[in-house]
Parts: sequence; structure tokens; C-alpha cells
Amino acid sequence: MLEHYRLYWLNFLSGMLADVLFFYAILIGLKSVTKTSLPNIDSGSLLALYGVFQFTGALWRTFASNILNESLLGTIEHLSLARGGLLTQLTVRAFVLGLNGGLYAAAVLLVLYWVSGISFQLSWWWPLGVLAFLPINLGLAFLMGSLGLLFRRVDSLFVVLNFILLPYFLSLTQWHPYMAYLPFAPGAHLVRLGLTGGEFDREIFLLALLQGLLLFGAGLWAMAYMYRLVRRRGILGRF
Amino acid sequence: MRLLVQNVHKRFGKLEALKGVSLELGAGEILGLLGPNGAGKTTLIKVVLGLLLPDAGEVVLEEGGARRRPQGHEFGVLLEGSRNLYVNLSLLVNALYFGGIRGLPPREVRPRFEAWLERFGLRDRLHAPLASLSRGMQQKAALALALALKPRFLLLDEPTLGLDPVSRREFEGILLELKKEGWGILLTSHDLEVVERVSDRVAFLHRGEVRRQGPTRALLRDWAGEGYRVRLAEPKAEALLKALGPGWSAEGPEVLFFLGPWEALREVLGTLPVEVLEVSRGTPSLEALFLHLFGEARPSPSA
Repeated sequence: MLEHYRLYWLNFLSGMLADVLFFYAILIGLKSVTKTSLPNIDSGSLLALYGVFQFTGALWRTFASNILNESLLGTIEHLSLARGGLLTQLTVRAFVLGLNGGLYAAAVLLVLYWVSGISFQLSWWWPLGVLAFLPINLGLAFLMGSLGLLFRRVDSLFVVLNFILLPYFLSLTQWHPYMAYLPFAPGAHLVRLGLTGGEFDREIFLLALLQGLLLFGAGLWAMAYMYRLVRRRGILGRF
Repeated sequence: MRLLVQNVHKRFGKLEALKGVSLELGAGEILGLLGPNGAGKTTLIKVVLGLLLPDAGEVVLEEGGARRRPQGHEFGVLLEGSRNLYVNLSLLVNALYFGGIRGLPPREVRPRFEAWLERFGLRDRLHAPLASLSRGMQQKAALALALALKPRFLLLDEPTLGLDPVSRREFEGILLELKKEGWGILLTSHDLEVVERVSDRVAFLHRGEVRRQGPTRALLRDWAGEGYRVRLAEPKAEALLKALGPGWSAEGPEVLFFLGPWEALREVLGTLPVEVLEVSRGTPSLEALFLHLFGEARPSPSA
């Protein structure tokens, strides 16, 4: 991973700059649409949920593109020959990429904190929120990865998903109780509460864990199903 | 210890890529898997590796009376093309990575890999990126890694493809050494001279079926009665080959080999535009047998 950043540092820095500018574009857009001044927008929550969006996107995008790259290089077949098979290898990778995605989102938030002055009030329990969100995020990554296994090129689908997820996550700044039952919402809400000095909500935490378990399980099942399907069709890593 | 492929069937839509293929490979032997393009060789290798699920049949590893499905990490593999290693990473990093995912710690993989590199004359390239190596060196490095991963069997899909004659000879020597050391090797190649020299047994695959299989020498001997070597006065074997029908192959600039009955040969001999110095009975080359079996064969759409 470090080697990747060392080799492609310019791309990494450009990506981070793009993500910082993207947040500013969102802020300015909100300001002009709602005709409110910047301080009236709950910018802390907005930034926290933007961080959640970055964490989510960084994980499933890199995970799915990892599958794509291995397929292009032809090395995905060698991953299948690894101890435990392809699914074990991809699960390990997903956890590593999850850590990487978390660090990347944290780096983007730090830069935004530094340049915008929007501050966080970290609650003591904030890592619990991130931990509760991780299985949800991994589940989504597995679902996207399973599509990548079967369809190989799914970049445009990612763009669509990005456009759906960004307003979806940002809409969680205005929290309503029914949202606790929406996908990804309890985990994202918990992260927001943790980063903005909110109180720990046990029910939301349990809901997030339950949702994480379901999504993680669904993601693993989808990966296993697609892996079997591509091996039956003979299209593993074929372009 | 034996690897058994038993009655494997695989269909892709309307195309029946494998039709009840059965083979076996023991330790210390090289099995040459031959056939025209689209015969199903790579499909079969993928089934053996578990990269492709068969519609019927199975691949089993028989060891000490027990039978089980072999695991992917029990195979050392050279897949067709440049897709066995990461081209931008050094040989060492490749070895440590692939060793790691196969559950082998660096302290075990590194010395084994270095030993194989030493043997293949590549020890000094340990830290060089794969991309900086020639095609032949890349193949040797990939083979060194496949061996360093402690496999039980080696599956080599077109390992000599793109190699120059010197590298090809070296590769051939390596295969013979590995065989002596007890490795079981499944080899597919269109380089029939190499296959003939190294393999103990060959299997001819055509349109998903094993058309013929057995010990290489015995298979060729079986045809000896029908084979004739024709020595020409001028080096025109290749040129003449274009005008001759199936069953003919060139074994050098002045030597033609005909696999067929004497009566058929006698008819052709009188029409040859070059003086014939000698006609003798002989064992055909693997290439001659291949052309005899598949001379009329055309590749099937995809397999």
C-alpha cells in the first residue's frame, strides 16, 4: 500500500485536493440554494458525514478496482490458488483497504479542518461509531466487488452510486427517527454523533451492528455466489 | 501420489469444450498435453486448478490410498502469457507476496526462491523489477517462484511461448532436471520438439476429447510401421510440404517424413520434382503424429 502511494504520489495528492474542493463545492452549493450563511449550516455534521462518504467510497472503489486490476494483470487466477482461495484473499484485502479508507478519510477531514476551520468535538466513544460502521462499509464493498467479479468493468455504476450516496449521507444531517431503519444510516449517524460531541445512542448502535452483520453477510454471500458463477462460466479474470 | 482427472465434462453454451476427459499424472513424470488451438487444453488446466468448475467429472489427488480434491496452493503454475507475476515489482517482492498468500513465511520462501534463481542463473536479478527482464528470464523467474512455493505438481501452459532457441533449450534442460527430482509436470505446448524430448507420456486432445494417449515412445513406435523418412537431394523439404497432402512433415531442410501406407507414398514419390536419395522406415516425430491426427483439424470457436 505504501509502495502504491510512493509510486503514484501525484495521483494521491490530486485525489485528496479534489475531495477537499468537492466539499467546498457542496458548502457553496448549499449556501446558494438555501440562501443561508455558512455558519447557519451545521458544518460540523456536514463535514463528519462527508468523512463517512469518503470512507465508504474509498473502500468500495478501491476494493472493486483492486479486483479489476488483478483481472487486467491476469494475477487474479493466482489469488484463487492462494491458501483459502480467492474469497479469503479478498476478505483480507478488504480489511486492509478498510483501514486504508479510514486513514484516507481522516486525512481529508484533517486537511478540511486545517483549511476551513470547521472543528469537531470528539466524544470519548467515537471509535465505537467507526467500528459499528465498518461492517456496513465492508458489506457494501463486497456487494460492489461481487459485481466487479462478474461484470469486470463497473466504473459507471460507481459514478451513479456516488451520486446517490453523497446526498443520501448529507441528508442525514437532519436526523429523523425513521432514518434509523434506512440502509447505512444508523452507522453513519453514529459516526456523526461521535465526531460532533453527541451522546452515545445504544439503540442506534445495536441497529448499526445488526445492519452491519446483515450487509456483511449479504456481501460475503454475493461474493461467494459470483465467484462460483464466474468459475462456472469460465470468465474469471477474462476480458 | 497421483493426480487423476476423471471423466470431466465442460460446456460453454453450445460448445462442448471437454467431453469426458480422463488423464492421470504421477510424481516424477511429465505428461505432454497436446492438441490444436481450441482443443480444450487451457480449459482442462483451469478445471484441474479449480479456476473453472466442470459440469461433470472430478479432479482428485490420490495419496496413500486416500483420495481428495486437490487445493489450488498444491499446484505450481505457469499460466499462458505474462500474467504470473507483477511486472512492476521486484522478483523478491513478488516471491514474498505470492509466498505469503500461500501461507509460506518469508524466511521459508526467500532462501528457496534464491536457490532456484541461482540455479536458473538469475540470482543477481533478485531486486530487479520483473519488467526489466527479458521474456525468457521472466519465464524462468516465474518458474523459480512456482517451484519455491512447494507445490506437489507443476502445471505449465505454453511455457516456451516466445522464448528464443537458446532459452528454449535451457527450459527443456530445467524440465528434465525437475522430472529427475520427482516433480510431476503437466505440460501443454505447441513446441512439439520440446514435448517429445521431455515428456514420458502424451495425450492428444481434440475438440474436447482425448483422441490418443500413452507413453510417448510407445505411441510413436505404434506408428513406425506406417512411417517413412524421405531424404532429398536438395534442401526443398519446406517448399514441397506446401504441395503435399496430409501426413507429411518436414524434419529438416532435406528430410520429409510421411505417416501413411507405402502404397500412398509410392504414388507421391514419382511426382516429386526433386531427386529422392533414400527412403527408409522410421519412427515418426511427435510433430508428424500431431499432423497426422490433426492435419485437417480446424480450431473450434473458443475453448
